[in-house]
Amino acid sequence: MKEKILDVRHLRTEFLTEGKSLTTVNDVSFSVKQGEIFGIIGESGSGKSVTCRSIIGLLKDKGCVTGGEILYKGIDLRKLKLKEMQKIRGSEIGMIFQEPMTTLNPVVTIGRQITEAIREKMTKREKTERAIELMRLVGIPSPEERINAYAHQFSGGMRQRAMIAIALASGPKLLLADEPTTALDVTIQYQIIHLLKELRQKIGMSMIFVTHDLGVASQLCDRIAVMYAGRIMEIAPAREIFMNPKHPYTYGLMRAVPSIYRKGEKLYSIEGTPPVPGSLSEGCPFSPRCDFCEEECKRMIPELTEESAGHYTRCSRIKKLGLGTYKKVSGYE
Amino acid sequence: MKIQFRKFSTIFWLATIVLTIVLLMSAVPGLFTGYDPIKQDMTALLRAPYKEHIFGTDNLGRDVFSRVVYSARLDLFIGFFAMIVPAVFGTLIGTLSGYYGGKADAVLMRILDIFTAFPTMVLVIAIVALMGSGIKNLFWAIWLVGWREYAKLVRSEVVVIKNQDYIAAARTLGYSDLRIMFRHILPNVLSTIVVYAITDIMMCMLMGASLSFLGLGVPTPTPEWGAIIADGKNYMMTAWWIIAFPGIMLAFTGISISIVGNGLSGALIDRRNG
Amino acid sequence: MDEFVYILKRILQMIPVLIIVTVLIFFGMRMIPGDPALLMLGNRASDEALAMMHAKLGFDKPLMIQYFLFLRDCVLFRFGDSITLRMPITELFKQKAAITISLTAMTIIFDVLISVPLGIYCGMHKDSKLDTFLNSASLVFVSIPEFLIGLVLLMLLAVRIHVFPVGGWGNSFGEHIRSLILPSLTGALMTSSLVMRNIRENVIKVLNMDYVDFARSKGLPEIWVRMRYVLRNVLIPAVTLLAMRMTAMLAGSIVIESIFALPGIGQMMLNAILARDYPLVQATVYLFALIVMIMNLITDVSYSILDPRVKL
Repeated sequence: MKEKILDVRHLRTEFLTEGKSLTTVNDVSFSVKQGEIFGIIGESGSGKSVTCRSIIGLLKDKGCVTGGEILYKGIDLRKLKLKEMQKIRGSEIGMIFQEPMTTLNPVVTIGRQITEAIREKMTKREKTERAIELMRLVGIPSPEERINAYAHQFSGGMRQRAMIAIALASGPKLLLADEPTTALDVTIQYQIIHLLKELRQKIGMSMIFVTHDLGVASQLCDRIAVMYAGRIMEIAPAREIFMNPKHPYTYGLMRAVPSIYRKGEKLYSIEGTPPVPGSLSEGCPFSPRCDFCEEECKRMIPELTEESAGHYTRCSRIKKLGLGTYKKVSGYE
Repeated sequence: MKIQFRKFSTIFWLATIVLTIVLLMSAVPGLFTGYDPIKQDMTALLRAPYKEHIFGTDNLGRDVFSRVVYSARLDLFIGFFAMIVPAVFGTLIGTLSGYYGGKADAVLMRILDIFTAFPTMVLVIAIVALMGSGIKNLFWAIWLVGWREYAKLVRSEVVVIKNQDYIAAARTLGYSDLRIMFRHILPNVLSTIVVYAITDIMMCMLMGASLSFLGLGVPTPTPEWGAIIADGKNYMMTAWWIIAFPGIMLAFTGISISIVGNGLSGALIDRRNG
Repeated sequence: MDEFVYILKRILQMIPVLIIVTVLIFFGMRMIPGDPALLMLGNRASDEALAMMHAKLGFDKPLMIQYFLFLRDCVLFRFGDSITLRMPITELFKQKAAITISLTAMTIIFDVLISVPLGIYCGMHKDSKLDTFLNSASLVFVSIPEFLIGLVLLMLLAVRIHVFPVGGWGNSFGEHIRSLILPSLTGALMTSSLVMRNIRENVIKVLNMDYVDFARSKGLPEIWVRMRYVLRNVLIPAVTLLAMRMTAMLAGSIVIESIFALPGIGQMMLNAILARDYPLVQATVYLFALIVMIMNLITDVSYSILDPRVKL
């Protein structure tokens, strides 16, 4: 079994707004192994991006990690000073974002944005060569000419590639990908997914891939965590999540994906809307929308328990339900 | 344009009270003072504020308080009248130009481009410089300059609105262009115009006062805040009250209009977005 | 090369605008009812004096000829003599320009010194006490006229406690600087209020941009992120706004120079207007138009240099 590169334990992140504190990530535990692509899926507002940002310590506004441990190679990132964290960022943990247009500095050339991130001591010329190399690696054509271009001169897909090149500049061992394909056309999406897969093979980089797109997750991830209202509902190998979902929420998500194998069937949709942070009462956060909800669900939140090898689920009714195998979900090979 | 008044802050209401007092002064100045603002009293020259002349007297023995009170009417009038003419004219031009488009629109845009390069106050002073000073030319100068902003503002919104579906719907119903423009497009632009116009009243008032201060606007002895301050400037060392009180009034009125404008624009924009 | 072509094109475009300006200046003045010569000399002028003034103003020639002569003078920058000051107008401009230019330069320095640090602070500490206070202060400075600000400063700092001279230009370099401080502060307060707000809004906007977090995620030091990512993106729009305000300073200089008795172009123009010195008024208005257009050109070009997204 491969070594764990990242181990998140009972992570809790709160946001302070207007004097109130909102818990957006609660009791999140998972681990990422060396060379693994770990997916986090969930609706918008489920706390998946916040989880990502908590790991690298770049929460927006008044966000703050208030509990748990984030162990990277055995070091708790929460205990590091800003200076030490800056050493981790880039060279150990990198991050890519959703919107490439707003993620690249509009007034600095792509080349400089790559070279400034290179941590190793080298001459300017070597850095430039390295930047060209990186741009070639991520598939930007004629990098020698493009190195002095600005973000607005790139197309959407090229920007995303440039962003990946920048994130790779100082060779991170773990890449946090916060919905990097969401803003792209489907064909470009496919190219970027392909690129990320390739990069894992070439550099052996681990990755946390956040998305709300089940199709994308199925193509890329080794293991997947399903988040709902700031909590992980289910963690399992990707195949298990898609073929054998055990939590009613995951089950609902899978049924909500159209499939060519279920022609003529009415497409399922989960009733209701996800809860607004702060409006949660005690009990399972999914209970108001759950088809299988019972009195017990409304009273307490179940623990995340291992149902079968490597398959964890947070549902108290799992034994009785036996949701069983869900076959032939689209996109999964 | 219905507005929820409960949402406004204390400072907004204070500003409203100040404006109400100023409006009252301009409507019935006699209510505040019994003195004639231009009557000279050679027995009481440059007197510091005391019981009979609470704001003191100026170098010609005129009561500063009554001059300040009587000024309110003219200053507000300048602010309002200098705003309203170009506002109406600019809105019309902007609507027509934005609605019909075409060559006339292109020409108008070109003219606007050239003239927006010139700062308002520079143009106003240039016009007054060429046409001569006085209150009539002051109005002409502001009118000739002021419509640019309205035309630009309105045109840019009309261009967006005229492509909306409900305008197309109105057209299919066979409504005339005039009816579409005035019944369906203009009401949507109105809140933008009002927001700009409120600040514009202040700007016009300040411009009028500035020009009068320079001696290019309201002629003496007509009471006007800027002009009173210009008169008092020569006695600044000895008789501070001549410029202090009209200065305070001018500042308070300007700031109050700004606050009220800010509050209203906040409410109007909230309403539009919500 | 592209820049050169662009600048040339813009200069060529200025020509028709300048011709329109000369037409407006020339005929605008002639639209005034009454005889300008009579207005200048007063009602009791003798017929000979009136005829002489007519000849001096060129009124004895046909209108179109007069216009073309005026146009020629504008092109050659040869404006004849001022009637009140009895000196060649070009010479007057040369004498007075230094004062107005130094006033503008010092105002811009104050603008930058006030607006940049405060704007950045307020943007970074949104809704802090200082931010709220400065927001109200900027509202105040935008809502009161420049002459009032000038008079208040004059009363407080020159008349009451004699820190600065009450007016005038002084004779030495040190005196010049000292006499410029209050006038340029007056000019700067309103502009820097506007620029400060602009910078504040932009700081808030930029800090929320992903590229700032992305830069941090690369492990860049905070100071580097602030300088290259935040500051650069914030200051580009501020520079344009500041440049635009510089042209507005032309009007400001008239007010300010008259309050602080600075013998610059602004004061000269005001006196010319009040004394109905038409040749001088016409020449100054023309000069202002020229300055505004040149400043706009410089602004556009420098903007395109600063911001790679803007193409000439």
